[in-house]
Amino acid sequence: MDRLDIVKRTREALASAPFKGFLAVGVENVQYLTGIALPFLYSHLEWKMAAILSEEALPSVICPFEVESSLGGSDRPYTILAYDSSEGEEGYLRCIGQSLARVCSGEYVATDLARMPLSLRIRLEQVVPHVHWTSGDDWIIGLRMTKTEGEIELLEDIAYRADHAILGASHHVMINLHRTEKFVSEDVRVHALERFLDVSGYNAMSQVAAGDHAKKFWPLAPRFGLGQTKTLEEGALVRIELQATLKGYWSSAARMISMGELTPQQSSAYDHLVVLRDTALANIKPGVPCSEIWRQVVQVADDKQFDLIRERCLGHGVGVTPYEPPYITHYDKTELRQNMIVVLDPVVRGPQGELMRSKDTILVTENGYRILGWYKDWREPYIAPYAL
Amino acid sequence: MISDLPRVSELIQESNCQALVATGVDNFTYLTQMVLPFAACYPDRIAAVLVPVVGKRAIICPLEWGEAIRDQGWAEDLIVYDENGAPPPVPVVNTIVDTVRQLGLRHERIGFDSHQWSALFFDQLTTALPAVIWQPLDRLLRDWRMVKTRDEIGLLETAVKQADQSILGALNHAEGAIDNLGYSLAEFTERIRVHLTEFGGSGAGHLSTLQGIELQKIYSPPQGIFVNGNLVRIDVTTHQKGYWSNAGRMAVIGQPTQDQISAYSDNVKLKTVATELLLPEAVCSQIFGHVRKMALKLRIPLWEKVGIGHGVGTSEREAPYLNSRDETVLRPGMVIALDIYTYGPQRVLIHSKDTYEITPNGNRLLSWYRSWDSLYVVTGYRALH
Repeated sequence: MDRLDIVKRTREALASAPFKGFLAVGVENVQYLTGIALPFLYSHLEWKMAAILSEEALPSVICPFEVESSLGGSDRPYTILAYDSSEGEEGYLRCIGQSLARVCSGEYVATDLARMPLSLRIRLEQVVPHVHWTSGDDWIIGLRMTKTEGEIELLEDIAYRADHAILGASHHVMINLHRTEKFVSEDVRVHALERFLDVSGYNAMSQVAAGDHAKKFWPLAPRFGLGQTKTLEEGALVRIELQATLKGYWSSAARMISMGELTPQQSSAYDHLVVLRDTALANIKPGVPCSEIWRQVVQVADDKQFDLIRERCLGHGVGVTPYEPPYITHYDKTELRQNMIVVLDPVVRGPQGELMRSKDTILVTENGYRILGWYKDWREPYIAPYAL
Repeated sequence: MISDLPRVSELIQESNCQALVATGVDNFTYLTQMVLPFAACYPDRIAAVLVPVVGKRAIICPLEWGEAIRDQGWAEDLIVYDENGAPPPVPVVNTIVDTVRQLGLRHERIGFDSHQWSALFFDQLTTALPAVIWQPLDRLLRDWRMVKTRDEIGLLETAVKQADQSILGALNHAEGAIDNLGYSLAEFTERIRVHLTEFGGSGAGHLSTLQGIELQKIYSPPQGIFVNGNLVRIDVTTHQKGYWSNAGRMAVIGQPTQDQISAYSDNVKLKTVATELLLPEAVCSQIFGHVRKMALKLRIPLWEKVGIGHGVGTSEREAPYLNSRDETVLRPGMVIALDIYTYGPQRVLIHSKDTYEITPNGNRLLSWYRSWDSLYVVTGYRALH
């Protein structure tokens, strides 16, 4: 049973599309269409996967022999064509050709060109000459951006568990107990695991940054997401980040801890985040372009002279990846629609130059928005106490 | 920073190119010795390196990664692009175009890693630079990367030892804890990462712990608690400054059965056969063929479809591959992860992955922190004192 209703959604979309089939080769697109979530596929490039959708048949999944046994985790029906990865691209292409010949011969087939390796495209045109290729990037992105009810329920659940995990770790932070970045980073992951989130590897990770480390997006390079022995000092602002996944869907979370009561300058900086969030929220409703939200937030930052970091997006989608369209940027004219989910992520500099962020996961509703997953009210950061 | 990498600019020139542009994450690390934060998992965020035959290399990356690159000691050109400017991949394409023009390369032959460029990326770049002749250099990059320098081997050796220690550290914590409240596979897996941090590793990639019947699979998310009598397979990839280990170990919860002992012993036998064949001038496909023949002769059920090993370097799996087709001749300086899967009871997949440097006279085992000739047995109870 397809608990997320993706199969139904994609069949309906394909029936009204100007092409008869869709070939997905991007890891995240294959995952979206089939439910197959294998985190190592982004880095194991010779283990190529593909998914082929057509109106007439069950989706086909093309995979190397190595992973065939691991495909049972999805609850959706599909047929599997496995190939020998030692053949390089040839076995993979042969399976794609076989599958397409069966269902789409002589027809237009769309594909995710933004993910298709150039070398593959060249060979596909040779190996599958009976198909007319067209770009399907906008089609698949459009499908992924608007979530089904099942996806919304799952993403809200993950957002809540992630927020809970951050809080759970935060309450172990006491000013006088000499906690380190490493301790808290690990504790966040442990709390995430205790809530049955998956933080096992690659970009499923946590990061804690304090003091000078908090001035950087990625301190301690190249040891990203591990944490070191730096003690969290009284008076510091601490940034906690967590990316966790469950059933192949993601949360992208970040919160701030204050090691003791906020100074007036820290309070003011945090208020900047709150104001910017509220500005964004006031503009979140169906029909509003993402670029308009960006413009409104930047305008407020300019008017009030907030130190907002601008050369990045102020928000993004979340789903089968933790960072995906729509992007709240200057250029993205995507109009928000009901059932889109975005993560608001403005970043401002604090009084010591710390990068401050407090990410919120937002569902676009019929008339506005709903914040997903607040374990606590984040109009103020977590204030670490003294241990008795 | 690795000081003894081949003069890449000379190699580019030998291919009649005036520059190389690479965007593949592994090629990026190889050509710059810089590590990006989980870049492979963010296909919309691209970093590129432009290596001209003459002049400084240029890294082109999003704002959030720029500082991390400088912090790793990058002293050459760094150009940060504004992701806010246009939909991906337009900002990075525009920045590459500007850089190519500034370097006077717009009418030149430029190499690139075509297997890792998307069709969309290529179309946009070639439209903006119509006079550039783009030459795929995938094969050349593959060949350069296969033979490691001493410094690279040093990093790989550190990475594989850290992985081994990390697995052992997690196993140490499991001993005595199985029957107390139940010890979860998720926690065990997390402990591998924690120990990696403690032993100085730079990062973790694949982290997988499976037990019992789940061992029929290559992967599923860690779930449940350890159960007495189950075989356990632990698979991890970790890196030291961008150079990867790819490790796999077996354990058993409680005393093993004879079937389990025999199955593991069979795997070790085949590994021993393969190890003796890891010699300079040996051909990868012939090594595979011989191991396959021995498996048949010894009646050891080999999972032959997936080959028996691969290289490691700035990626977790790379050339050369020990399979039926790869005709690569082993040379000193190659680093091979030997990965022989055999079937155990209930057709579970067993392996004990080790990494070897090919030396002028044979090979050198890099990855043992302790002997893995026998199955690791997790027993004990937690004493309170």
